[in-house]
Amino acid sequence: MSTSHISQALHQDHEATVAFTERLETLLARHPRQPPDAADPLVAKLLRDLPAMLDTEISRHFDFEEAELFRHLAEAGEEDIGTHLSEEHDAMRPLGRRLIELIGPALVQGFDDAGWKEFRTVGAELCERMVMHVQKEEMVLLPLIETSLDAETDASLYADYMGNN
Amino acid sequence: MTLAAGFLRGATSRLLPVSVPLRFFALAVLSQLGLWLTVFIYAEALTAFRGGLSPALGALHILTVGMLASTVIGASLQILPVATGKALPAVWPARLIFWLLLAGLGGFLGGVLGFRLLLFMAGGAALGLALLLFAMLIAANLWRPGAQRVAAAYAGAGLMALLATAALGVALALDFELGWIPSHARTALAHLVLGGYGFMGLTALGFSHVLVPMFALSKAPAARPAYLALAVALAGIVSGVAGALVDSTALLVAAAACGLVAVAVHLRLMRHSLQTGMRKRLGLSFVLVRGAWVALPLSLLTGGLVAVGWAGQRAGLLFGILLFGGWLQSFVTGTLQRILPMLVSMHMVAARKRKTWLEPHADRLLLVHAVAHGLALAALLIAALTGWSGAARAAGLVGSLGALAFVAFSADTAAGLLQNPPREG
Repeated sequence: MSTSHISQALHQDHEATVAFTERLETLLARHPRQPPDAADPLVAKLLRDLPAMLDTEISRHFDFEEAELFRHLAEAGEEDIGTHLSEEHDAMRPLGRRLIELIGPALVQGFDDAGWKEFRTVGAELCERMVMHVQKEEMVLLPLIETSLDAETDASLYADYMGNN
Repeated sequence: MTLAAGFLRGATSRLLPVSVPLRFFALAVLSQLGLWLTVFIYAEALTAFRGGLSPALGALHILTVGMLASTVIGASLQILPVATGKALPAVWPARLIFWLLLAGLGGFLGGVLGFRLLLFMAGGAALGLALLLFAMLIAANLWRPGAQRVAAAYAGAGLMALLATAALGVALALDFELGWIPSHARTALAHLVLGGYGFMGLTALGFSHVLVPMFALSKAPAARPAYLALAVALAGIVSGVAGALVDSTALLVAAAACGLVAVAVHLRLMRHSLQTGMRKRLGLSFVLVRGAWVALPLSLLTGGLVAVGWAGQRAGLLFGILLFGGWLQSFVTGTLQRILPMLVSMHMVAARKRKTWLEPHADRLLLVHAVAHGLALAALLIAALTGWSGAARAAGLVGSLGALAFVAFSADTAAGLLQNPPREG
C-alpha cells in the first residue's frame, strides 16, 4: 500500500488514462478503414470526452511532473528519470493537440476518409506511447517517489497538484 | 545511475545494444518458420518417431534450441541486467554465444537431416558450449540481488537446469558414436524434462512475474507463493529426472503431481495479476498466453498418464507436443509479440514519428499467426494420436503460413529501427 499521497494521485490519473486509452483503442480497432458514425452516441461521447482527458493527462499531469516532481527528484539525485519521461511527454503533446484539432470538425460533420485515417494513425500512436509511458511511470517513477521524497515534500507536492484542479 | 533510472535509460543506451537481443529474437522467429517447414517436409518421419537420429529430432531442436532457448537467451540478456541492476561485463560474449548457437544448430540439423553423425556431434558440442557460455555470462549477474528477486531466483534455478540439460545433450549426441550411455531413451527423457520444464519452463515462469504485471499494469505477484511454487517445481523436476534415469514410475508420477501443484500456484498468481491490472485489453498476445497456461498442466497430466501406462502408445508424442508446442511455443510467441514492439520503441529516438503496432496490417498478421498456430497444433495433436501423416503435413503447411505472418510482423516492427536509429550510448 502506497504511503505517498502524490504517488496515489498520479496512480489514479494512470487508471483513468488507461481506461480511456482502452476505449479509444477499441474504437480504432473496430474501424480499421471506414470512419465510424460520429453521430453514434458512444462514438460522440468518446469524442467529446477526449479533449478533457487529454487536458487532464497531458496538460495537468505532464506539466506538474515537469515543473515540480522531476525537480524534486533531481534534487534527490534522480535526474535521469525526469529527463527520459520529459522526452516522452514532448513526443506525446503534439499528438494530443492534433487529435483535438481533428475532433472539432468531426463532431459537427463526422469524419471523412482522410480525416479518419489521420485520426486513426495519430490516435494509435498516442495510445501506444501512452500505455508504455504509464507502464514506466507505474514500474519506476511511483516506487521512486516512495523512496526518494520525504513526507513533507510529498505533502507539499500533493497540495500543489490538487490545487491545480 | 540508480536501478530505477537505469531501467528507463539503460535499455536505450547503457545495458545492451539493441542488435544483441534482436538477433536472438530474429533467430527465434525464423526458427518457428523452419520448424513448421520441417514438419511439412518430414511429416511421415515425424508421426513414426520413436527416438533415434531422425528428422523429428531435428524439428524438436529447431523448436527447443532455435526458437525457445534463443528467446530465453535474448530475453535474459535484456531483462536480467535490469532486474538485478547490474550490467553485463561485456557485450562480445553475447555475440559469441549467438554465433556458436547458430553454428551449433546448423551442424546439429545438418547432421540429423543428412544422417552425418560427425556433423551432428560437432553441432551438439557447439550448442553445449554456447549454452555453457550463456550460463557463465548470466550467472555472475544473478549473484547480485535486485528489485526482481523472484524472477532472478527462477532464472538461477533455470540456469542450473540448463547446465544439466546441455551436459546430458552433449552426452546423448556423443552416445550415437560411443554407445557409452546405458539407456539412451531414459537419458533422453531426463534431458527433455530438464530442458522443457527446467531451463525453459522455469525461466518462462520467472519472467512471467515481470512481464505479466508489466503488460497488465498491475502490481508484482506476492513473492512468498512464488517461491513456494519454485520450490515445488524444483522438487518435481528433480523427481522427474531421477524417475527418468532409474525408470521409476512412482518418481515420474510424483514429478507430475509436484508440477501440477506448482502450476496451480503460479496460475493463481497470474490470474490475480490480470484481475487487478489496469490494462484489460491485452489483445491476441494473451489469447496465446492463456492457451499456453492451459497446455502446461495438460502436458503434466499427460506425462503422468504416460508414466503409469494409461495413455496409450502414442501419448508420448502427445506429451511432447503439449509441452513444447502448446505451452512453451504459445507462451513465447504470445510474449514476443509484446516484447518486440516495446524493445524497438525503447531504442527509438522519442520525438520522431514512427509506425505503431495498432496499424491494421500488424493486427491482421498477428491474427493470421494466432489462428494458424492453434490450427497447426490441433492438426499435430491429431497426427500424434492417429499416426496419420496427412494431418502432420497439414499442420506443417498451416503452421508455416502462420510463422510467415509472424516473420512479417517482426520484420515490420524491427524496420522502425531503420527509420529511427537508436540513440548513441
